[in-house]
Amino acid sequence: MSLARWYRLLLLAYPRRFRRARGTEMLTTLLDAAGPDQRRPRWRDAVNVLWRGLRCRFAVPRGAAYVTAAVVCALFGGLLLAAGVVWASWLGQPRIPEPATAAAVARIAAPAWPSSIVVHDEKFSGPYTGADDPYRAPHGFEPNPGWVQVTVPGTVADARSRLAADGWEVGELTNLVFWAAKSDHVIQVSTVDSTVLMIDVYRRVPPWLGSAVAVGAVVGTAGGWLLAGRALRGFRRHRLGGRAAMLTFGVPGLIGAMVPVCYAAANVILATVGDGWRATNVHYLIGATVPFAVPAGPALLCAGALAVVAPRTPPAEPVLEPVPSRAWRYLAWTATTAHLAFAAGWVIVVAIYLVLRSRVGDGFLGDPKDVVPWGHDALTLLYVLGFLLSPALLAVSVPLLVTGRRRVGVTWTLLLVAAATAVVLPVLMFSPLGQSAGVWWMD
Amino acid sequence: MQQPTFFILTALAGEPLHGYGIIHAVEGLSGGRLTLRAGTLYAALDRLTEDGLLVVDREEAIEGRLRRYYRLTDDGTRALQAEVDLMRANANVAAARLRRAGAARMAFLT
Repeated sequence: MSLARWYRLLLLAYPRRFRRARGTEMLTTLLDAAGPDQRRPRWRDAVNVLWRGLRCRFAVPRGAAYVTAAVVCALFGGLLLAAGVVWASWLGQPRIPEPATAAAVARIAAPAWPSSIVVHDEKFSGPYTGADDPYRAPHGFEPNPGWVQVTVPGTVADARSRLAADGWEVGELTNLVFWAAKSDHVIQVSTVDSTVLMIDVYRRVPPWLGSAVAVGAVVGTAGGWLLAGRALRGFRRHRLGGRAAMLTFGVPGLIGAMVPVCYAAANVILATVGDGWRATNVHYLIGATVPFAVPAGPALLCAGALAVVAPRTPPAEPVLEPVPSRAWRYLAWTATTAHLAFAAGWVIVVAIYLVLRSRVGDGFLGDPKDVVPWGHDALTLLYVLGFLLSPALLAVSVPLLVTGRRRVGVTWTLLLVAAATAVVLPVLMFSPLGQSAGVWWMD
Repeated sequence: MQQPTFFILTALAGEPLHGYGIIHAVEGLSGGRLTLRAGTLYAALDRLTEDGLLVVDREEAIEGRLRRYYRLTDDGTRALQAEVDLMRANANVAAARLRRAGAARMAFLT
């Protein structure tokens, strides 16, 4: 094989788009740099081309915003796959014992007829709550979430000795409660009045779950990073419309993805710090993922799907021309006006409230309709709509700000200030002053 | 500014160069301390072009080979000048410190 062919083979590490633009030029440089009798690439050149090619293929575009988005996607991917591994472990073996099986297990501890058998089908571990956490079991007795509670006459001491005689691994008896485990089952035996036992029968967490979740988290994080890189490169190739569409889905998706990531991290860390590491801590991943990831996942998938349809080759003209396009300017001014109108509604109400308060002190301020006979209804409409719609309007103004960041000028700056009001004003509405003014105006 | 970037900009400060020309010039300018590989060079060229510090001056296509010549833009010249000023200021500070330390040592010995 000729040297040129070797180099062409190595250049396959680069994405096709790069090879079209620079492949021949780079091949020429590689051949120019080769020695006169060289037949094969030097290993350092080969490693360098492969490494740079793969980086070019999988790299996230430069810029703090791109890297932040990729990090969020990577963490979210890690969380999703880790939670998926936990979920899969429940498919491999039933998460909760069958009531009949639970009754049979309980009969070993107490042979009397059960007075009740109740299934507690709790899939999602909630936030860690300390020593009272239902999943807080001694090391070696970690159960799956969900259990069958068998209530049966008997005493704790009898139950403990019967289980030990049957070959169960029996934990310490503390405050009339003990745990026991055998093969796939874990039970917690407790009593209320020393004559009635409550035997909670669980399935045991598989011993490999912690390691499998760790592998899932690493693979998911890597996958999330790669997919984010691909989507963000698609974002860069898009023109204004494509970028705005991606941002419309992507920004809420990223914000939504942060919630389960922070929630899961906080719970796993709190549980581990509070009670040491145990396999049951991974159940918090499911609790964090399922309720919160439902809106974030589809939003990010939509943004990713939009990235796939981005033009494959970079546009001939610069994507963002320095002179603002008419559509961008029109949209920016519309969004700015709407944001500022909503903000004005709030500011006017608070200003009137402050003026009246300075005049009458703690006394009665009067009916707002009497104080502002003209325009009261319009102001109320702005005030209420501002609270409800202004944050939603960010779905338009944030994409405009991002796509127009090279056009920084009066319009862009005004839009930035106006968009900031949509974040600041709802927060201020919950301040003591905002609440007082709001109650007075709306009451 | 990283060393490869600095030497690429320095190499192009004199005249427009193509890929291998830049590799050769950088090796010479750095006294053989820095050998650019093609992958590293084109990653840097992409980045610098995107940042507006370089532009393609012209292309030569001969017998299936393509040589693109790059040259510094005004922004590229300014960035290199700023880096040179920074390095000179840093070097002056370090030299002054060394001079003071040398004088103090001499005073102690005498």
